[in-house]
Amino acid sequence: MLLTDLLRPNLIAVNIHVKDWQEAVREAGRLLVEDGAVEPRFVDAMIEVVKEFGPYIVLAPGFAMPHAKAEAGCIKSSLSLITLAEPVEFGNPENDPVYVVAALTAADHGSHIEALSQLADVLANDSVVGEWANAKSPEEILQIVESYS
Amino acid sequence: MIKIFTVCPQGLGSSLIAKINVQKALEKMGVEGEVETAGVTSITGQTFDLIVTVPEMEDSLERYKSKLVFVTNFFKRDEIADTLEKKFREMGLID
Repeated sequence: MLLTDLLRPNLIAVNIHVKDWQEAVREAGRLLVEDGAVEPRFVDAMIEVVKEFGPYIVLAPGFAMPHAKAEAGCIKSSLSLITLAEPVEFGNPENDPVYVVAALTAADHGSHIEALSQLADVLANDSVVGEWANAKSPEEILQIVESYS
Repeated sequence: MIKIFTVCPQGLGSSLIAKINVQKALEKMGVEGEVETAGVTSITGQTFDLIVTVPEMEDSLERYKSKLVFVTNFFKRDEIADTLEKKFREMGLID
């Protein structure tokens, strides 16, 4: 399974307005729900994880990857990605503020490894989050993925 | 052979990204190691040399204190490699 199998065009939205981190996670989660990739309760689970364990999901400067367990309502492994019109704080001292939120759902522990490995390769380039934040369309987001893959 | 666990609360998102980048760091240093992901609860009862995790996990993993290594950015391969190299020296695994 490749990154573009997880991150499908209908799971990407740019320049989204949100007032705080919870709304940002909800917006990224909404794309997963509308796609049929998760049950609605999965979105609540992603928020609960942050409340319980803290903002560790801000994995790199400007980039958050909320996720929850498969049992929380995953239907098929997917990744949604939104860019924010105004950045929000998750409370992560090292990596705030966040411009890009990518919500991950994985049906099992194995099938998404190759795709995430590809994501790790893409995000190993420091400029990618900034380039995503400035992208004008979902197509442009995917082109940026392509250019670093 | 060094055994490393990458740990996040759930053991499937961030820990997986960490695993991928820890493996790359080991390759770069020429250190032979096995890297597995785990959640906070599934680490119990496992044997290992090191845990790579994020600062938020410090309290939950306090009993493994001497084996903890923290990274702030899971995508920064250089930072991960530097942090591990320092720890390996401390442990006497490399010169």
